[in-house]
Amino acid sequence: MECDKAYDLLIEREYGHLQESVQDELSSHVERCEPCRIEAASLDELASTLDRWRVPNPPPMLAALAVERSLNLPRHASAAEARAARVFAHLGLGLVAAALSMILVAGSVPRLSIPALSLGLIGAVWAAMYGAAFAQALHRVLRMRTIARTALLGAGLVVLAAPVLSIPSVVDACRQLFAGARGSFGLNMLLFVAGGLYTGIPIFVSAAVCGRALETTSVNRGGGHAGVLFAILIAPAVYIQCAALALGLVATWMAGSLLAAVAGPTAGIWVATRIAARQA
Amino acid sequence: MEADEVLMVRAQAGDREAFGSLATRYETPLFRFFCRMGAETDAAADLFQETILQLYERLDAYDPARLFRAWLYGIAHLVWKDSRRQAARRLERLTRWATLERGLPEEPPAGQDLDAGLDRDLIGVAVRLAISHLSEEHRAVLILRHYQELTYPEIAEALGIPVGTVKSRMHHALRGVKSDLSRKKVLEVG
Ligand SMILES: [Zn+2]
Repeated sequence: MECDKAYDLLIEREYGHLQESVQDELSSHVERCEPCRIEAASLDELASTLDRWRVPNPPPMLAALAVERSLNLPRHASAAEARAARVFAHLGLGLVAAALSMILVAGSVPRLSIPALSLGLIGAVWAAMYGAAFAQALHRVLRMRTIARTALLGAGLVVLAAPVLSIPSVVDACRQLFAGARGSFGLNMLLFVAGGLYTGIPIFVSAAVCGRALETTSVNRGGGHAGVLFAILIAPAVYIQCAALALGLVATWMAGSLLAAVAGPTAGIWVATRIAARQA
Repeated sequence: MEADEVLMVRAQAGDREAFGSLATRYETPLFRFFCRMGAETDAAADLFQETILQLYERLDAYDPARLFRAWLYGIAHLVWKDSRRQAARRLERLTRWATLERGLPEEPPAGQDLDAGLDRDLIGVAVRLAISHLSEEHRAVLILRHYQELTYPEIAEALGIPVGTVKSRMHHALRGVKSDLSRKKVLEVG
């Protein structure tokens, strides 16, 4: 065991949790190593010195006073109102995001084959989904918050990419490469890969940006959840763009896309946590 | 003694006595937490009251599956940060007025009264000073771990940061306090 590591473990022994085997290894190192023995003694001394700082007791009746003040508040009214205000704020945000997405995505499709009523319905569903994701993005639990932010940023990137590079235009480009061989194995493979890249790159980027807050241990779960949430969020955009395409092509595209929706964030979070760990 | 979480569920159902017991149970720890973060006695009492008030307002938001202590310290930490922000704004306004009136910048008052309190023990004063020199983030972790005796995962949940970050902040804080105290010859070893 090296002394640097021993020092970290000494702090861990004082304030964290050490496995028994590590503890034995540490003890035997400290026994043999003079500098670490001094380090251990000084850490002990530090801990007992910290305890010399005494602070006063609270004034009498402090808790009773605070409880009385709190209980006199009309809790249920104010809490319910606060919750309603939060819900409205998130729904408002969701509505704005859905409207912007709709303009960008529907505007990017050359032959829009969806009736206006259906578009309106998709918009409403989209607004609710975005609203819920925004609410989740402010969650107090770090993992939930990170997952929601990853999915939201990824969905935003997909929507922004739509006018520049819509799904029908990518499919057309792939088809031209295999002109004449409609439905061939090569075309399907190409569409599978293209769908994967189209979905995977934005979610990978957003996971690499947002994922550094997570622990390395939660990479798999975090990635899976972020991928599912992301797939749900971009589903309306994919549906609007693919409605005019042949079903077979869409199915291949979707297969690649779904695979990437799960693999992309997992890889992104993995990269982000590794970089964060190395920096720490 | 009933677990915090059990009392909290009862408080959620409208049991005032359960809510009162929780407030009493955390009276001294929370009051001392605010003192250690740098509040004076009066301010710490106010901050404690504010924390209990916010706990009450957020009763419904508490998920009984989560550790109550981490949840409570999370609220307390937010209350503390909020009070610091307000204090900073007030200070900025005061200095601006002083500048306008005298045409001279006023010496900003110190963030905390270092001679306040009942602490006559010089070593205790040295520890207080050393900890007050830490950044707000490092100080919070050191105080929550050493004095409030929260575990690393509890601190992570309370502050909304990863456990790894809690650990590295704790290491950093200990190193800072240790070198400060060694320089002042408060520590003998090392
Ligand atoms: Zn050593």
